[in-house]
Amino acid sequence: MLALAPDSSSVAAGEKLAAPGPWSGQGCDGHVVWGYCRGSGKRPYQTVVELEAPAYKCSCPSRKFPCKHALGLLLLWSGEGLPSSTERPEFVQEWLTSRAERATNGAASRSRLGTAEKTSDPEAAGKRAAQRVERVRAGLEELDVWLRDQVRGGLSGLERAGYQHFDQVAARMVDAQAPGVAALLRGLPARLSGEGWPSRALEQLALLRLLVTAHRRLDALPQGLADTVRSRIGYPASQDSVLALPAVRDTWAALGSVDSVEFKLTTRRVWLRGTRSGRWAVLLSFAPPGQSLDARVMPGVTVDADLHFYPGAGQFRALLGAEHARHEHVAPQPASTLADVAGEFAALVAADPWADRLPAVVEGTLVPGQGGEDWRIRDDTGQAARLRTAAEPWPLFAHSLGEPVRVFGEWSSRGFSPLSVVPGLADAFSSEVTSR
Amino acid sequence: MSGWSELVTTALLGTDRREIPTVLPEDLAPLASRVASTDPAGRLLDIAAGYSAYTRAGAVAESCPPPAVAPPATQEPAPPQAQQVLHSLVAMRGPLLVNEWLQVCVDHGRYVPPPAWTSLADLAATASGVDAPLLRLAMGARGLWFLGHNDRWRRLVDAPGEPSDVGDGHSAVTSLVTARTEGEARAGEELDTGWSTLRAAGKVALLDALSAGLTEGDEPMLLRALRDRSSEVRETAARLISRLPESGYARRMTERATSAVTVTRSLGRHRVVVTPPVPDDAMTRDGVTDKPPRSFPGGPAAFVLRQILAATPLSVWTPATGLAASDLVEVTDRTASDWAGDLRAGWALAAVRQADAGWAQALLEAGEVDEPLVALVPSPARVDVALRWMQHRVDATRVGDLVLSCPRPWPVEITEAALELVSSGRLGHSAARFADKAGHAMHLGSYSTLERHVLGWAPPKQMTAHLATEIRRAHARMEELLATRIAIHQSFTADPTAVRRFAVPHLP
Repeated sequence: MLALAPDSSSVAAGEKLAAPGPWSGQGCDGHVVWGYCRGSGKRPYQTVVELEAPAYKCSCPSRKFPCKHALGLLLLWSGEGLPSSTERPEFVQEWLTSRAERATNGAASRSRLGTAEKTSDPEAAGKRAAQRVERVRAGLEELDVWLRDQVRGGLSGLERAGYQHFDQVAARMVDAQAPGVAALLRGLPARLSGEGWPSRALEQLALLRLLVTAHRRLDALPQGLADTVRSRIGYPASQDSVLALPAVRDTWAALGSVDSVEFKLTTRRVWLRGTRSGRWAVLLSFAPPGQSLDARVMPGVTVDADLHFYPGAGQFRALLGAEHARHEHVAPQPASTLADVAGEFAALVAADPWADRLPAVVEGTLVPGQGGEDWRIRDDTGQAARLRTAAEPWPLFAHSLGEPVRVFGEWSSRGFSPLSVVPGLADAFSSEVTSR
Repeated sequence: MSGWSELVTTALLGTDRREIPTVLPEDLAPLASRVASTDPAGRLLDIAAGYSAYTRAGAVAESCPPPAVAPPATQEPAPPQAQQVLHSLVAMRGPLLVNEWLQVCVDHGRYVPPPAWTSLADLAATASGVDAPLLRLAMGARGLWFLGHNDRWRRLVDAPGEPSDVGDGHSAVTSLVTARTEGEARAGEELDTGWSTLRAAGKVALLDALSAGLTEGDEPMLLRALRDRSSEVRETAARLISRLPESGYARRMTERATSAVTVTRSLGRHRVVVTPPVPDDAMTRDGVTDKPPRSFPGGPAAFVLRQILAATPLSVWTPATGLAASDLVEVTDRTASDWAGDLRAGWALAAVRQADAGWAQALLEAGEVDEPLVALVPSPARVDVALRWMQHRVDATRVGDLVLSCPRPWPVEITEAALELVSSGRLGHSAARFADKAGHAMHLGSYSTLERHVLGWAPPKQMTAHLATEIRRAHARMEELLATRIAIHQSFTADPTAVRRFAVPHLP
């Protein structure tokens, strides 16, 4: 439930409100929970949460979403419980009605769009696609000139060139309908500081150039690689078209998730692993400030569901289709040796040269970094890999205390980022017990 | 130079200024031969792109010796519900409640569960007030092993008493301690060689080192320290020299004190007569100064009087005046009210320096509630005085201070007295502040009494609404704190349903 919180301060604030003290008139039915929360203002805040979506509404002025009142109310509901009631207060009913109206309108407008596309002339659609390719091609040729200009004149001034230097090219790439390239360019300045920046700069520019040259030969590339190039450049793949692709049904265990913020947009990656196939998938969701991310599948649950994978070689991204069953636990996970993971990563880079992220479950002991050194994880073959974490992984170290732990994380050429501890085969019995 | 750094150097300078080497190092040669581009800049980027993929794909793990393993667990960790309680307490950053949790944990022979270690250690290392020795006990062997891996937490693990940085004369302290324990009385020499090079902390350490086997022979050195620039050094020296009642210093101070404060008797009534001494060179040599600090409430004469009384052995007063300590204090209050405050302050300081419990109690009963002074009075006596004060309507703030000084947890009668004090409204607007402290000390079995106060309390007619709100707030605060403390204790017992009743409230 706390995974719904927009940040950690909201968690703390929400936990404070998870006691009946500040609440009055609280209640719930099968669909919504509500209550009045005493705050700093004269009138108590009216808080309501629809459990299904979940969706929130609160009369408080907070711009966080969900706000602490909604979180506290949910915690209270899940902890001590709320009195069940058949009569919803007026403000609850009003909000539900307006939500229902909006949903109908939204669906109507979507279906109008859908029919518009379907009935349109396939010839016109083909023409539009060809126009887009042409526009991207022209944009990328300009990018190529820019890239080569950088290298011809020397990268030494790039460190101090500032955001604007890249923003101009990025804006041009947006005009050329290559938003993926634009995002790569906008992400560049942040990587141009600290030790070794010239090396990183050259690598990033080279990978952009690789997109340019790959796009020139797009028709000659194998289908999978061509799809990857298209997705990296930012050709649109509509959700409908992805959902129209054949489904992959499996029992998907959600092993870990990570939220990252770039340019005020929060991105959530939820990693799934197919229990039968062993296949990896990632569900992405995006939220601008103040909106909440997709929390339908969160780490610790297993869903028997259909996934629809985005096209492209070495792509993990998928959309959640029909869900058939759900369990609130995760089955024991097999672990790979670090050498195996390195091998899989090499295969991934071979399929998608721009790739720098591979999900993996490894088992090993943590080796603390002494005196500012990097932390490492060492598997039972005696090999070790760098750990890459935002903060030093003391909680994980407290968990392991020099003994092996099985962790899920993201592997990259810069190191392994642990995201969660997963049950191993030895824990199978206990996980059976706790799931009951 | 590796192939990659060749490429980076050329890219940094620009292909207009530096060519891509025609003969590339071995690792780039096969890659370069497959790049078709002839434009130098494009060619460099193409080689770099291929190389980047090569290096990312080719990263291999390195071998590493096995790390150390924590010592085996000798106890059980605290139960899950206790861990949850601790989690909330650490999030609230309240050191007193955390200390109480740690104490209960140790009492139950449990240790802090590993998931709580990181946040607890961060709290203890950054916020003041977490009891480090208690923390060490509660962490257990595995927890201490864990803390030892982090430089920021290491000071929590290291036992106190480690020599701190005291200046160049540190060796003087060490050699002095050695000399003393070996029975050599050459302290004076050691002092002369090291004293002037020491910082204040070093001087204090040196004086503390003297305290083992202090003799009259140390007097010259203490006199020198009494005139030191640092008030900490002066206070340490004053404390030490007060333990030498036979010294010349003590004799001189006694003379000054007994001629400044005399007791006359006429018609069977005692009367205290105060003649403020006039400072002279001899006094200055003994460290007495007539220049009070800016914060001092009185004039130079009062300041001199206080210093003299503070430096005089308390044992001289009864023989000199024929009055017991409590009587002398009482007569002073009654007959020399202009000076009574200064005399009491001087005596109080003397009682603290000389650790004189009898005088401390006499002064306490007369209303002196300074913390170090009260600490000298045995706790049953403190409770007695507090309860008596409650009945005799002594100034409520003083009662409050005394009540708060009683050792925790309070016995039932003090707890009830404290509740009465809050509910009476006599504490005025300091009620909530009092409750903040009282809540940490109240008897755990007093929850029903507290509830009775909270539910049954109604403001008397003449009370302002503002004060009534303050008292309600104080009640709520005590209830929150007591409920939290009860939850801490019950979270360690087997019955989780008991804990539910006292779910940790969320403090503001």
